[in-house]
Amino acid sequence: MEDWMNQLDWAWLQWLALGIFGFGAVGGALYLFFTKNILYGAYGLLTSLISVGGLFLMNGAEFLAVSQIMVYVGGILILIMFGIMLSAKGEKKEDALKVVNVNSLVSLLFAAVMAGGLIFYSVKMGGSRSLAEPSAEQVQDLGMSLMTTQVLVLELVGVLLLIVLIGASYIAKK
Amino acid sequence: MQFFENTVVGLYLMARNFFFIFLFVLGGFLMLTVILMIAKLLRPTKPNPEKDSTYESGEEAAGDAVISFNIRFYIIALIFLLFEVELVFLFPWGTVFGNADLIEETNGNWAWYAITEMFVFIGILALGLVYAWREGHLDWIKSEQIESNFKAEVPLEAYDKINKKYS
Repeated sequence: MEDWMNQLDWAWLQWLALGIFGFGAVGGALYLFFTKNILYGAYGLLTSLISVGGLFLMNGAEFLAVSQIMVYVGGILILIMFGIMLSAKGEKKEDALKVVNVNSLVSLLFAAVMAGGLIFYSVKMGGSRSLAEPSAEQVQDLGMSLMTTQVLVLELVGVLLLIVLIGASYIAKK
Repeated sequence: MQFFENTVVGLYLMARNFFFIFLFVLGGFLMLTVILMIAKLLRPTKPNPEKDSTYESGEEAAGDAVISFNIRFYIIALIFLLFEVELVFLFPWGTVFGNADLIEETNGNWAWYAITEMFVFIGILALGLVYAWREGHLDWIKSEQIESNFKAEVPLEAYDKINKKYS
């Protein structure tokens, strides 16, 4: 890294990025929870998922961030949107995309318990985690173990994906 | 607290690694904002209902933007998603596949091993694609062309004559 970069004050950038991603993640999820239009809810989910990807990036998990963006944002969210657009039907035009929350209290409680557990464990694990190494090597290590010690797992994942593909297309056909 | 300390360290590393990307993102937003602001300052604003309507190549816009899709899109998206999951596994593989040291140490066997392994991995999922294809999950419903029995009274030569006359 060049010399002048060392002299910059990074603190503002760090907190700015944390603020943007954190706000996006929480805000998107809250919007999804409270919105009445399911399509807008999907946009809220989009914001939330991208922001979580950003948070992964900030914690040095680049591979996880790329996977998050590719699989969740680029794949699963598109699938959800297709699902919405396939099933959008209502008595009136305006009702087609309307959502009604039936279990707000239970789902909020569930989310609170999940969040509490996650925070508890991440605080607990925080001490043993080291971030000294930048993650360029992490992906390499992952590739190395995927090709050597975990190669059977890799092929099993391939078989699993095959099963999912066959099953999913079979169900979708029905 | 150790957790927050680690987060700060992580933030620091990210800020260093992604400083240029961040600059590009920032630059993109700024450029767009500045250009749109300039346009807003320069342009005259005289809206009328005609201008405010949605532009559909001169056609009158009809119906709703939210319509039901063809169900086939869903299956295509599903297959795409599975191949995307596969693609995620290709990233770490790609970083070690061409490793010069490893190839040299093993007389090139490493590269053959790695590429075979990956082709097996891709091949397994390609089997699924072949299955979906064979079973007709990928077939699109084609609209039928109905042939009409209309017989024109004007003979074809008449068109030729006119074309010649005015060419």
